[in-house]
Amino acid sequence: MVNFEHVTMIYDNGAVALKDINLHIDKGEFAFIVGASGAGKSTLMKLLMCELTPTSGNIQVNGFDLTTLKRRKIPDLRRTLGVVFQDFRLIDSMNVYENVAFALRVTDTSSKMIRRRVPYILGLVELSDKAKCMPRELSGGEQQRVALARALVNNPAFIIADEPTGNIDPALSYEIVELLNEINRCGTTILMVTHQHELVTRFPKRVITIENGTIASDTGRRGTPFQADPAGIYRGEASLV
Amino acid sequence: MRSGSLRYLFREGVRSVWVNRLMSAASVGVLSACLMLIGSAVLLAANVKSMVGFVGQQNEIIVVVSDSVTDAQLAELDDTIKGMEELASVKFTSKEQALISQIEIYGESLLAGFEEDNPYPDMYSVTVKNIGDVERVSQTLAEMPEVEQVRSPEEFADVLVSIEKMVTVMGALVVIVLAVVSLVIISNTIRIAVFNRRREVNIMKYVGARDSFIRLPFVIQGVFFGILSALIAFFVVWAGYSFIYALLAQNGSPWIAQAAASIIPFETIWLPLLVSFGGAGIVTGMIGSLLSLRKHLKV
Ligand SMILES: Nc1ncnc2c1ncn2[C@@H]1O[C@H](COP(=O)(O)OP(=O)(O)O)[C@@H](O)[C@H]1O
Ligand SMILES: [Mg+2]
Repeated sequence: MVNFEHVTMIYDNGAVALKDINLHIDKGEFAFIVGASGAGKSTLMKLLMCELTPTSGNIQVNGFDLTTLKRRKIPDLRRTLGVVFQDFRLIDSMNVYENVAFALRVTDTSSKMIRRRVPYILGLVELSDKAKCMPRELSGGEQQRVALARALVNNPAFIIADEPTGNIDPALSYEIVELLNEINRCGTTILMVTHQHELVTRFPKRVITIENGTIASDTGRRGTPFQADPAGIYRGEASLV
Repeated sequence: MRSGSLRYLFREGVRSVWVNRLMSAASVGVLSACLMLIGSAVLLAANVKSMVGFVGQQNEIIVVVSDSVTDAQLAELDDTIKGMEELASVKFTSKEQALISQIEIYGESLLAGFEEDNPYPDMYSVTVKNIGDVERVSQTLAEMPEVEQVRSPEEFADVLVSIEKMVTVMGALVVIVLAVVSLVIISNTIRIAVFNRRREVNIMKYVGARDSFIRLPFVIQGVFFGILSALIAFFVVWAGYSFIYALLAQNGSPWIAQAAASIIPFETIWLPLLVSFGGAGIVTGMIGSLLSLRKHLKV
């Protein structure tokens, strides 16, 4: 699913963000990435979604070889990814429903599919009754659940979350991770950057620690083994009924 | 592309124009001014051409007699001109007659005292039998020592053409400047629109929208500016043209009325005018938006 081979990232200003990273993440895994501020966690995430090109080394994500990926193929890669950020990145002028539908509207999805898929995903993140609310009317935890719904609505195989709970009350943070855990149980690979130790201890998952641009420790695969999505819950088929 | 997506893109383009209406108005204003100037210059050129053709068909030649001729020389000239085979008619207007007719036009007070020192020359107005002879006859007349000046229709046509050339050169300069200003203003307007929608653009990139899709609303906006400018320019030029036409047609002066008769009627030129305005407007709007997208919308 994810493969880094000798990846080094040096920014234009000379800052060495990542040094000779080797990392492998399998389909269906749930991994936390932890480390001090400035360690290179966000850089790693940006490399994954092809927002940055590594200075050297090879990266494979979801079957795409990022080193040889053509610019116009980047959208194809990103359609297989769901991305969540610390600052939610919702569109203030659109309500919850429209924010989630937006991800489908701009990727050539039929309006029939949009009408079927969006309510289903909103139900999944338990925001059905807030569909008509504007983002500013929601709590931080709810806003992040909208962002998560938007990341999920394209039915991605891989969710990347860069400190998704960084702006949320600790109590509500568990809710978000629980939701990610739920999604992971149905086969979606999850990679989540976090600062919060209590999350890492509460959810016994793989923990990759980054220090000064290198992997300082890696617990390896832990937690729920991969299982298929027998009910097709996250594939959208279930919403047909 | 799906119709739902198209609707979305179109709505976004229009919304962007409205949100940013001041800059949008400036874009449309300058672009339509540019089109109006180009249109007017082209129409003027076309009409001068038509008038030149019309004037060229006139066979009247004005012969201005030199002020210093004696009566004997004048009589000799008179004989020579009246003896020319090529001429169909010869009409003589003396200095005195000229002054009287001018007094009739401008009034006694303005021209008081002109009797002592009459500024008007003796003149012949002749017509040729065969229009092809105009140039040769003009030349023969001009070479006579008693003749100061010959004004043939060709000369008038030359004046018209040189005016047209001057207008074309000056018009081209103004149009180039305005076209550059249009492009700068349009691309700035689009840049602001991109800035206003940077959040949406950012999210679109993360969820995997294609570059062309992200760009389209902005290009639509540029094209919209082009179409609107073309329509405004067209209706303004139409109104201006009809106004000038009516003005010339009403004018009492016979030669102006004649000139008006040779003006190209608007009915025959409105379609090519509208099509070229539309084409030029759309192309400029598109170039303007693409210029700014290339710089400010790194995907
Ligand atoms: N766009 C950038 N240009 C230059 N240096 C950067 C840029 N982004 C991050 N860095 C540097 O790279 C290092 C890693 O940053 P980052 O990946 O954001 O760390 P983290 O997310 O772990 O806090 C830091 O030293 C940071 O200053
Ligand atoms: Mg970071």
